Amino acid sequence: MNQPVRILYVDDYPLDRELVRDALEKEHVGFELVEAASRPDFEAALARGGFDLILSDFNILGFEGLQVLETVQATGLNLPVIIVTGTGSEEVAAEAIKRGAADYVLKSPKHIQRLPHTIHAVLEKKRLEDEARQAEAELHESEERYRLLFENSGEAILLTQPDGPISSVNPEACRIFGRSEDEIKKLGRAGIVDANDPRLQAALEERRRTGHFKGELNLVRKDGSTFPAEVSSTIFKDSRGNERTSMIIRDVTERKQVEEKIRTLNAELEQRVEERTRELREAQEQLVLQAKLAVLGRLAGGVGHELRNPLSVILNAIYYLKLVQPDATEKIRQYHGMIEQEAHTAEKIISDLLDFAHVRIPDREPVSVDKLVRQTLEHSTIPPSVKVTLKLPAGLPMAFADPRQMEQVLGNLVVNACQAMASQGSATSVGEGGRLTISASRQKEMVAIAVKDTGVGIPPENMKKLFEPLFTTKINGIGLGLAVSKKLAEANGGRIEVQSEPGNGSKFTLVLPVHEGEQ
Amino acid sequence: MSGILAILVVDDNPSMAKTLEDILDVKGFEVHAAYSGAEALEILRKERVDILLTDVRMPDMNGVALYREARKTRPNLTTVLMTAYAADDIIQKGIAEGIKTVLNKPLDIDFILSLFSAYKRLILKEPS
Repeated sequence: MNQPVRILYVDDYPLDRELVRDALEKEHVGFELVEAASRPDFEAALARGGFDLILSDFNILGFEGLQVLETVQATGLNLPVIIVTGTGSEEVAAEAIKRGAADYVLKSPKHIQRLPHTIHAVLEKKRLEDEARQAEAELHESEERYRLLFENSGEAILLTQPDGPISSVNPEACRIFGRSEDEIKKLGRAGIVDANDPRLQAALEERRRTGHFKGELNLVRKDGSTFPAEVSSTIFKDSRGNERTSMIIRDVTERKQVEEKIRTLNAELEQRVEERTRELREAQEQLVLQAKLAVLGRLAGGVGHELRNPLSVILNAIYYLKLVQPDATEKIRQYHGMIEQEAHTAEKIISDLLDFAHVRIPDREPVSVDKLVRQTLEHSTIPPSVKVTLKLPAGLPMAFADPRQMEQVLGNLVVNACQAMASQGSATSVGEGGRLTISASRQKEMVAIAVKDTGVGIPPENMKKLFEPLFTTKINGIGLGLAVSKKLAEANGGRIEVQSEPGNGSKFTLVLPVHEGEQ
Repeated sequence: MSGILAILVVDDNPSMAKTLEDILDVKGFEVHAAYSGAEALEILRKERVDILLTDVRMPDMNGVALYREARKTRPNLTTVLMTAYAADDIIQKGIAEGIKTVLNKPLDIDFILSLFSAYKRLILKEPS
C-alpha cells in the first residue's frame, strides 16, 4: 500500500482540525488530507472526487454530521464515513453508526491518537466487504449464465438422483415429454423411461459402474407413446457431497425415421438389383440355350439329312424282303416288323430334329377342329388298353392354322399322354391303361384343344423345363417333341398351355386362333 | 411297244439303287440301275427308258443336271427326283424346268408303285 490514503475532512473548528491533522501526521503511512471548513467547501471537494474516506465533525455550523453522512451516501460511491465527535455526544455517535457511519472517534487528545488505526481498520473492513460483494455478484452472474443455458437448451436436461427422483427439469424436457415440470418431478425416472426397454437395466448398470452412460433408450410421452432418444447420463457430487445424476436427452425419432427410410430404400435397391441380376442371368441362360440350339440346328441339318439315305435303304431292303418272302416264318416276319418299326422311329426322331432346326413357314388355312382331332387319332398309335373319350361340341369355330403342322402337334401330345399312362400296367382291357380325353372349346378369339391323360403327371420342378429342347424324362427320347410343338403352335399364332399334378395326370392344351371369317 | 414300263434308277449309293432296282423288278418293271450321272447317260443312249428316277445330290452330276442332259436327246422323258434334302435349291430349279415329282427319302415304296402304275397307263396308253 504505497498509495497515500486520501481523506476529505470536514470540520468548521480550526483547533479541532489541527488536532486531527497532528494525529494523522504522526503516522508514517501517508495520509493525504483535504480539509473543508464549510458545507459548500465539502460539497465542492466531494464532487471533485478521488477520496478513499470521509472524516466528519458532528457539529458543523448549519450542517450536521448526519447530513454529511446522507450527502456521502447519496453519491452512491460507498465511501466510508468516520465521525469525529466532541466528548459527551456518544449517544449521537451511536445514532450515526446506526445510520451507516463506519465508526466514530472522540475528539479528545487521548482518543484521537487512535484515529489512524481506526481509519486503517475501516478501510480494511470496506475492502473485505467490497470483495464479498464482488464475489456475490460474480456468483450471481455465473448462476444466471447457467440458468439461461438450462432454460434455453435445445436438449432436454434433467437433474436427477441415482435412484430415480428428478429435481430439475428444463423447458425442452417438458416439450419432448409433453408434461409440466411438476408432473415430471412427481413421476421421477420410472414415469418417463420405458420400463419395457430391454436396454434400460444395462444402461443403469453401466452408469453405476463407470459413472457415465451414453446410448439409446425408449422414453414415454404423456400420451403413453414411446419415442427413441439418445440419452447421456453422468453421476456427480453436489457441493454437499450428495450423489446426483444428470440426464441429457435428445429425441431421435426423426433421425430414426430417416434411418429407417434409408434402410427401406436400400432394401428396395437391393431387391431391384437382385431382380435385375436374375433377369440378366435368365437372359444369359436364354442366350446359352439359343447358342446350344444353333449348334443343334446345324448338327440336325447335317446329320439328319445324311441319316435319311441309310434309313431309306434299310426300309427299301425290308420292303424287298417282305415282298420276296411272303411265306416267311412268323419269327422272320416279326423281325421284319421290328426293323421296319425301328427305322420309322429313327425317321421320326430325324424329322423332329429337322423340324426343330428349321420350322417350315406355316401354310395357314381354315381348319375344322373336329376333323383335325379325328385325323390325328387315326394316324396315332394308341394302346388298346387306353380308353379314348372325345368331347367335341357342335358349333366349334374353325381354327386358322397349318393343318399338317397342327396334326403333328396334336399327335405329339397324344403320344406323350399315352406314354405318361404306359406305366399303368400292362393291362390290356380297355380303360385300365388310363383314360385319354380330348376336348375342345372356344376361348374368345381362340379355340382350345385339350389333351388330358390320367398318367403320372409332371413334378413341379420339371414344369418350367418342359418346353426346353433336349429336356426329356423318357428313356428313348431326345427331348424335342414339346419344343417342336411349342415352336409350331407359336408359328401358327397359337400357344400350348399345361396343367399337371404329380400322380393326377396332365392336361396339355393347344390354343389356336379362330379363322377370321368366324370372329 | 411292250407293255412293260422301263425305269432308270440313278443313285450314287449302290445299295439305294440296288434295292429299288430289285423291288421294281419284282413288281414287274423293266429296270436299269446306274450309280452316277455319267453311267445314267450311257444307259439312256443305249436303252429304252420311260421314267428317270434319280437322286439329286451325286458327286459327278446332280439330278437336275442329269435331267437337262437327258432332255437333249429325250425331250419327253418323265423324271422323278429323290432327295434327303427337301429344301435343296437344286430341286426348285428342277421344278422350274419342268420336273413334276419330287420324293423325299426315306421313300414310301407303296406310293412309288402306285405312282408308276399311273405313269404306265399314261405313257403306255393302257386302258385303266
